[in-house]
Amino acid sequence: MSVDLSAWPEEARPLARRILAFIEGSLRGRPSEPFEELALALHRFQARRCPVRASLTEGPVDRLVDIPAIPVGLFKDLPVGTLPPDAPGIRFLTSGTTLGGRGEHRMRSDALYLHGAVSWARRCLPTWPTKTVNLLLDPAEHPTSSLSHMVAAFAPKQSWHLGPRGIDAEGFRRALAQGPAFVGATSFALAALLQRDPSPLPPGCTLMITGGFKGHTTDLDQDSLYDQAATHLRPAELVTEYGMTELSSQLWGRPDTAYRPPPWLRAIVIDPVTEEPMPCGEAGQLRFVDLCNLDGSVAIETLDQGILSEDGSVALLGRLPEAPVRGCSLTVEEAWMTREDPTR
Amino acid sequence: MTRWDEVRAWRDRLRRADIVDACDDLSPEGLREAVDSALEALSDEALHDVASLRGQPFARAVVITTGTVPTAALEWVALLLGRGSQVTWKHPAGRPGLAPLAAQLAGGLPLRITSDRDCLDGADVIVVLGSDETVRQVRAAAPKGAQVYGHGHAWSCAWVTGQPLPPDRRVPSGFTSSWGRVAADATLFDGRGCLSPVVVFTSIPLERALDSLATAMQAAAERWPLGIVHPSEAALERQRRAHTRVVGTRRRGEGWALHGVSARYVSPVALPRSVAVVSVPSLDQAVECASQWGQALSTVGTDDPTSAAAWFEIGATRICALGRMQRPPLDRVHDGVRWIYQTFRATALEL
Repeated sequence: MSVDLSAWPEEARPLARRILAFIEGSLRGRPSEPFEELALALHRFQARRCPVRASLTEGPVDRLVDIPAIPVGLFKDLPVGTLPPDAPGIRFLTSGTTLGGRGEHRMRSDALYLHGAVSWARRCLPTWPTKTVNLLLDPAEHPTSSLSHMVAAFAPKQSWHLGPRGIDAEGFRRALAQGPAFVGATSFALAALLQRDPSPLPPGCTLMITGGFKGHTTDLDQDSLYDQAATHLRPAELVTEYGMTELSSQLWGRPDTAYRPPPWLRAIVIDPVTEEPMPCGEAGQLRFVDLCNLDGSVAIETLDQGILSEDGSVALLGRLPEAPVRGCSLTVEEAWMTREDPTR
Repeated sequence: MTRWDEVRAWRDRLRRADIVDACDDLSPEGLREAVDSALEALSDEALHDVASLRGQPFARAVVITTGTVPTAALEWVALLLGRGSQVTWKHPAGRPGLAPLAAQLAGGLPLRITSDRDCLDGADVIVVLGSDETVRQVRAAAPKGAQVYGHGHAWSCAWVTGQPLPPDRRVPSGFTSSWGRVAADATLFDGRGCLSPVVVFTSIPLERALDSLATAMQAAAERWPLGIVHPSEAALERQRRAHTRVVGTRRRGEGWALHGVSARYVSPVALPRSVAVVSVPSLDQAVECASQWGQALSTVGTDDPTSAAAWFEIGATRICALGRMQRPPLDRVHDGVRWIYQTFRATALEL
């Protein structure tokens, strides 16, 4: 597959080529170089151009685990990445429903992003779609949604049935009446569909469920959602996806299996208190090293928890458990809800 | 022996009790200081003043502590018992905190503890100390006709100018300077209380303020070691630390952290002994910053009495001297109300 790297300036293009070569090679089972080597090169490149990464770099960075993982909260109000403020490119924003504010991930081009995302989805999806019918935001109207941007690249025929006022169940059903499709849905949108119209999908559909319920009120937990989706919608295949706006790569799984990252994305599980890496099989806070994040941050620290397996797959356990509220001070959620709109 | 005499005896037994088993997540020294401070507010004089207020007791009271500092219920329980109510203290399942000790030492006082959600039946007053969401749920589940008082989460800040403060016997010895008082306020309950200063605004230059407060925070940490820090707290504090490393100035010691940042990076969320310090040229700028969360602002501790009007204007409900933020008097305004009037049915005889 030809990937246009011309959006990147001369100084970044060698790294872009190395990333591309790594993706191509690792998909064939022969990575072009060690993961750690490329990750360290990306860190050095970004530390020279991103003041946030430079500020967080203390001491020598010689190993993968030395690479500072930028906490996702910093994306809200600091310019994380190597792009100058006025540089053209793609801009994705987080939903901003959990921690208030909206994190920003900018990239010069979506060429690497889409190449990685599509290549790995092709590996993970049982059948490659020719049409998608989605309970996701329309990327034409919401160009800052990274999820919609990715799914839009799966097939040329596509329709979108989620808007600011909720799902368009009737339009969704009409679009599906023309035959099987890949159905992309957020957990919350799917819960709304199950409540409003739980009739089966046409035979042959693949249903992708992604995201948690953050910022939304629902009576369903994730496992119940999977059960109900399987029982009522009866998709031919049910797959799960985990991605973050701050990442360029995604993990795919199934309701009863761990998520598989592509070879160019690595999860690291740490003890949230001591910051020490946790052994495989033990739960901890998730960090990711994403070789596709050329313009953003090669390593990020999430507020999610998971368990890493020997094969690199990750069992996701959701958000780090809220410290059972120990005081009567504001929680993060409350602080955001309580904030007065300065424009009001 | 009157009910109030029994309450005084109960208070004295709690003062002498071994509280180590009730520690939950505070260090033994931290919990001891918190309990002593709470019991100090229940002085003979304060109890006498409350007892003299005219009113009728509620027959059955339920005090629910789902998310609060461990001593918050003590004052409520004491006053409700003193009035003559039967009191049920509902604590979170698996986290009874001080409740078992309080019940064990209650003597003949009608204090029952439970973690059972069905404890609301028959209550004619319910006090909820928890999040706004918990308050909402309890209101929905309360028996018809029951009075429900909810005290949700809030935040507090300090305004420090360096003006001298008069001596105060309730301020811990060794912490009587302005910065010492701030450290004592920020350390009690490990800084998780809604009366704890999450942000310190100061007219003093940032580096000087940080150095002074750092010295005091270290002394406080040695006297009252930090308790347990939970995973999500640790993760959020690491995030805050990274943020400060990029845009601010840090001071950090064993179990405490100061984040010198500009007003635009302030967050009113409390993390264990993690305090933002914001140096501003004028009170106006401090007030403007705090006003973003004005509706949830509880207490402002200060050494500048002339600032009170500005703080009240943006929503603060209590202004006090530094060192007294988390050591309030029994009769005080809490969440905008004089809470002691919620412990009985006020009556008036106008014949």
